[in-house]
Amino acid sequence: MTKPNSMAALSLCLLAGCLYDANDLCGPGEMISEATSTCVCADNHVPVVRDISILVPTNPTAEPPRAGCEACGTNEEAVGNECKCVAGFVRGANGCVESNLGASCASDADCAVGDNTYCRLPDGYCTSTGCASSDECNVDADYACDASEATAFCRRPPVGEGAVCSGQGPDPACSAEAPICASGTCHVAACVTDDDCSPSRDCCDLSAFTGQSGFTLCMAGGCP
Amino acid sequence: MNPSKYLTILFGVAVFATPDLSLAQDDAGAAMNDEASVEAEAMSADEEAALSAEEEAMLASLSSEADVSADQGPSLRFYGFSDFSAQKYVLGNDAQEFALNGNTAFYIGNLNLYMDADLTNNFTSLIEVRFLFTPTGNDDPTTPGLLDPTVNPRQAPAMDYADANRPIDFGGIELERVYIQYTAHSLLRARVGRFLTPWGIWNVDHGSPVIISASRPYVIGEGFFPEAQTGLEVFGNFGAGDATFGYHLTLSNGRGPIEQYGDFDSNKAVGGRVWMEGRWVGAVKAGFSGYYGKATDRRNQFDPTSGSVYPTAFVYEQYDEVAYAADVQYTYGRFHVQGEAAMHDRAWNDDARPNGQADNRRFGTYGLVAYELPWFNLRPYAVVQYYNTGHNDGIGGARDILVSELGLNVRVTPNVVLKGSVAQAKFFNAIPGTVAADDLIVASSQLSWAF
Amino acid sequence: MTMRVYRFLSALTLGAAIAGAVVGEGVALANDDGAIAVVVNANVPIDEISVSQLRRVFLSEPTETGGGNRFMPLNQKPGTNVREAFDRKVLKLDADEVAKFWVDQRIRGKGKPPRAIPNAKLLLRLLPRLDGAIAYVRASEVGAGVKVLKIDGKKPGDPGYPL
Repeated sequence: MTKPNSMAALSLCLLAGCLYDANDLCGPGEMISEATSTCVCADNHVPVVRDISILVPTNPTAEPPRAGCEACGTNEEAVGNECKCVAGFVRGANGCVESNLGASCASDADCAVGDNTYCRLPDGYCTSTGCASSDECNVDADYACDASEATAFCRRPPVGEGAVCSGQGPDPACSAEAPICASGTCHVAACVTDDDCSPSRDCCDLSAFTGQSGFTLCMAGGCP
Repeated sequence: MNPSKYLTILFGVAVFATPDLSLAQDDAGAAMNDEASVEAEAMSADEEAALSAEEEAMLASLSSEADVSADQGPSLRFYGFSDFSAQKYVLGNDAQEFALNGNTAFYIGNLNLYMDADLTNNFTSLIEVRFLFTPTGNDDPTTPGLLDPTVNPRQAPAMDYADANRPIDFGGIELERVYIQYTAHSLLRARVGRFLTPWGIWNVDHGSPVIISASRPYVIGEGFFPEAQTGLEVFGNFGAGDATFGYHLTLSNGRGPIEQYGDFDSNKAVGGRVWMEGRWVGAVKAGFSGYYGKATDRRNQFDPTSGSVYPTAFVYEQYDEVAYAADVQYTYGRFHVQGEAAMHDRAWNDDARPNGQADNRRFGTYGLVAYELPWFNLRPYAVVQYYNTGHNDGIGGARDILVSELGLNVRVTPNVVLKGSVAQAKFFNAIPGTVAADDLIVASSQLSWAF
Repeated sequence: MTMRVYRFLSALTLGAAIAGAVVGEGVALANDDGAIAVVVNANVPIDEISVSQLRRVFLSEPTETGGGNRFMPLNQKPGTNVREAFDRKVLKLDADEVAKFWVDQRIRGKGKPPRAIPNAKLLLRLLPRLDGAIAYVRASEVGAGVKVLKIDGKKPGDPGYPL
């Protein structure tokens, strides 16, 4: 049964040509766009730029010649023409690895295997040093650059900030670092400037609402 | 003026131009001069001398055709064809207005000059050159175009240095055929040089007086096969009873940016055609053609980090292609029908594929029916053609096109042909807002002549 | 006004067409005048040829004589009765069609017609002196030094002789 099928396939191939394969119209990692009949990168793939030396591009905005597309790796996602690590992962020597940012530690040795090699004591979490501003810290994780010490480091957000609570004012359900319950969540109190808050929060003066002079809280989403 | 009136007037002019058909023979100066019988009586000495002189002259002429002596050299023959057309697009939407000129246009479409010579009994040479008015009037690619419409987008004319540097339009030349042919046997003929690809009917029979319709069907000019190739063509035929069988084999540079004189890959293109012709009930001719080639565009790059001062060449774009075609024509008395169908596959080399380009399969076909009326060589005809580009934006924003054409071909004399036609193009699977979003109608008339 | 011009041109067209038809008729007055003999140089080794082979030869298709040469076809002068009869019987074309055929062949780059020799006397004198030469004359004109070929097995004068 196989042989006649092979012969039929060969005959068809000779008759219709073997170059064209309707199931493989594009380069590696590409797929056909039915709307435009053009090849585009497949889902979660990014273009592989060809190794062509273009010294002075005539059209700087033109997409450079590509040699197909390649799949993004584990824990990566295609963003534009680049593969980026998904949230919670960072680029390591062998692709995206889970970040040790915030992991518990007792000394720097506990952080040495990860991307954050500084153990912040006495709080006991892994983070990084040498930042100049909060932009250099993991903003997604709401880390802020703390330059108040001789060596600036990325400070984690206060423990318990944003936790759910039910009262108004100091609440035992909230932590010591974010002791005030307001609008159902725990907040950091007594901030002076925005730098005293996590990057996602602003320092808000709530004196007018509480009647207490100098009452401030770090609040997300802007001050009321 | 509407197209029908226009065509009628052209036809009228053509009929006026009909000369005495006896002047249109293949040999010049023919007149009715029947040599009914050889005179039996003895010729006078003068007559004999005159006949002998004529015999020697004719013999020399015939021998020189057969075997050219070195000092005499071959005699070069010049001939060719040309055509004059009037064309009017009936436009249906803004995109068509933008892409096509809706005004009736007069133009010389072809001016092809042939030069042939018999070099010896076995060697012949043919050169076909087409003269064009372009590049005058073509858009200059370096102008900003729509970005700044105040800049003239068209090629600037040249200056005539012999006439006070006044502007002068300059034209172009296309070398269509340049080859030398050797006939070893009817079964084995070979030509080297640049030749028209032997496929189908109207790729080789490309002269406008030979083509029945006002222009070749669209699909024939779409390059399913290279229109011409540079390389070697071997061909031959043999007769068997009322049938003749023939073949063509080609080996060439294939397609490429410098295919006329160079090849950016070592893979030569191969092609072939087999055909048969028979005369039984009417005359039938059929053929099948194929072609395989690799097209390569090579570029140079300079890498300052390489340490070399020389640029390096690399394959920038490359694809393999295969094409097939079948053709058939049948003539019975005044009735003529012909058709061609062709398919073309292109598969890109993944390492040299232009961004976005997908492998492609396209096919097209046409059928023509013509009938020569018993009066004035009038030959009405109808053509239907279909073309599937294999690409959603393949033709004016559509994937498929169906063209129906009605026309009239008048062979005013053997050398002069007048044609008129109206064609309607229907597009399928069209992208809204494109040329193909609406039907397109074109009225054409053409006067073509061989000289 | 436009319609009047249009009608005038149409009438002229029709008139010219009728005139053209009359002229055209004048060309087709030739008639047959006895059998046509196909003659070859005596060195041509064959004694017989078919109408279809003859057709190929006189359409300038390279055709071997069988003796190492190719046929060199020589035509009679266009417009003569014998030429028109030959073209009609062998090529299946009338004079106008022959003219069209060679115009078309020229544009196709597919060769040229056989040389036309001004008269039969000259033709018969040339034939013995040209290897592979093949021509046709009235059977009554055939002289010495040339060989008459049978056509499809029949000699001129035989019943069913095709020319």
